[in-house]
Amino acid sequence: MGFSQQLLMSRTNKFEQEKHQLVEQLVQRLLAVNNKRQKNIFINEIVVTILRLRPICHRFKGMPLIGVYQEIYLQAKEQLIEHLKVQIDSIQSTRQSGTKTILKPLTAVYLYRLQTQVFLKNLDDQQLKNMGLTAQGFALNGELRSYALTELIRAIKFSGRLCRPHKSKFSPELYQTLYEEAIAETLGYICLNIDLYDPNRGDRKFMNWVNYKLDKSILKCYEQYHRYAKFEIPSSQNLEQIVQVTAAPDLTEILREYLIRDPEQIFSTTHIRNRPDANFTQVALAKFSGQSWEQISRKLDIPIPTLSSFYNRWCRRFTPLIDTELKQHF
Amino acid sequence: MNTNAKSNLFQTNISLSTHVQAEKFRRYQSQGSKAKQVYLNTLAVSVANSYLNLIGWSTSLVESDSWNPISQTMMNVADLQIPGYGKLECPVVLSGQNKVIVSPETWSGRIGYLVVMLDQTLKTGSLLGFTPRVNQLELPLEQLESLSKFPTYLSQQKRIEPTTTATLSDWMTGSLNYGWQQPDELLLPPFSSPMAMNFRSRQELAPFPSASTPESRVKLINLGQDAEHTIALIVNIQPLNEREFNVSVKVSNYLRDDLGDHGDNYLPEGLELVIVDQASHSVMAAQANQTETIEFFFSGELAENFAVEIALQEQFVVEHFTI
Repeated sequence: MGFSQQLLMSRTNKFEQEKHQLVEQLVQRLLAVNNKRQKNIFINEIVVTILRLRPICHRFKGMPLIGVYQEIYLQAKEQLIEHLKVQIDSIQSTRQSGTKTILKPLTAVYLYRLQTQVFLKNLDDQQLKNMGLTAQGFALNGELRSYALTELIRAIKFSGRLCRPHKSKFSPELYQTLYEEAIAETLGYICLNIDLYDPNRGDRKFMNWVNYKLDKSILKCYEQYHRYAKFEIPSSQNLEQIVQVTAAPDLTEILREYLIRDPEQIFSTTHIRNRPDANFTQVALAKFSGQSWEQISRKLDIPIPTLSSFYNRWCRRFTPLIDTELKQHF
Repeated sequence: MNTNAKSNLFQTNISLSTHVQAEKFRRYQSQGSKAKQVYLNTLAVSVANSYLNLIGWSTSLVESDSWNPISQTMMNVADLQIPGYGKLECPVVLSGQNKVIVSPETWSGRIGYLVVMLDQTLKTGSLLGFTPRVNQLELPLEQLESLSKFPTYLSQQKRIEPTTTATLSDWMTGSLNYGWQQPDELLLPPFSSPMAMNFRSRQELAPFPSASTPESRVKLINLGQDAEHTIALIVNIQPLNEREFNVSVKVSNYLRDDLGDHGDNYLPEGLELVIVDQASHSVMAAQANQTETIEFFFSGELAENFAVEIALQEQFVVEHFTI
């Protein structure tokens, strides 16, 4: 794991640890209180704190939740408050009566698990559908749509409502690989094509649309896997070793030859202003021979940004011509 | 694939088919480090591509230089074309490094840079963050902006209106394409005789038979950081016979008549006019250097295509034509 990733992970864990400690402190203070109003205040604070680490419906740019996200949040909050009230009453009455009933301790771990259960139970197809329709309602290429799609994907994965089609056809290992790829492809498709979702089709169920795509995607992934089964993924270390297959043309050589030949005399006559020696052919050939921009810049005594901008512009302009000329090689 | 709760990191598995594609591209290269570069760039672009689709943005791999073997050979590119907006560059860093190298060819012509980290096994890729522009070779990872801000950044980019191809021969029958006007509508002042600098046309200019009248159209193009320059692009077509036409393309600086006399009306310094004629593989180009107009003459046949590019520093506009 890279440096920045490690740093991020440890920060997140520390953040979570702090939240857990806070929750447990609040629970202790809650258990010590008997006044009903005070109890409710504490319960509310505990639930709000827990909800800060909720699995779905996160805020967008720190702004308050709206629409379906707010609905889901408030529903979970209400249920968690109710549950806590019941638990607290049980604990406190048990203490008073002195019975030795074993109750679940209100630890942070227990409470966060409870949160997960509550959200899971509430995240039915209707809510997912509402999240999908909300995304549809936001403008294409707007930041809100991106936010809504990110939340939708998170919710779909969290909900456990993705099916596992064709599972029995493959070994568990192979299925795992195919499934991961199919999920990635399906969810990408959903986001790109959310406007195609028709709430009146698929038995009016949102996940039918998603799972239908997933079903087809697994088969497609298998087909590709089968075709490429013999392919060995290289590691970053052995990428420089060339396996020269005679079938593939050596593009560098072909390009070099074409630039030197310059049938229409366009490459050698295109040059940086006032520097006929710094022409396109010169720069391109220097690049092909593996020279760095610093080396080329030093040799021609032209600053790198000028050189690379010139080269970039003319690569762009010449590409359609070169493509046409060299397409016979593909 | 996963976006974490804060949306500031994105990670995905790299599919087998992506590796197969990367290998196909790699095989065109015989030089070791270039081959590695092409392979890694392909992986990086596909990681960015997955992410963009998940935030609802369309992409076009086929229009990306990073997916064109010739462009891959000529430049070190990992661009991803966003149709209607421009190119995103996807510089690669391998896990364990904390600086990313951004190749100078990509310091311009990009709407942003998304840094992709690949793990040593090349099986997963992550997006670490982004930056709007780059003008140095090494970009330290700490300087990246959080990925969570990227969708907002992208949504603020200007949409580029697609230009349609204008069919010149239609102009002979009086038709008008969107964006093009008759020159007299703009009350263009008469020009001094045009000077074509660095003239490089390969075509022979056929004599103008007196019978057929040329048709002209003009389009105004705004360039400059604050669109402070207005350039008049005037295209003139004259039929020689049923199939052949003389064409002239001219640019000059456009100032509204009512703003008074401005003395020398030079084109912006360094303005480039480039004509790419795909059919005959030729290119005509000139750069303005205390010049009032640039004009090119050439001839072509019905249905031939050419493109006219007007460029000022890093900005450019391309107009496509069919004769």
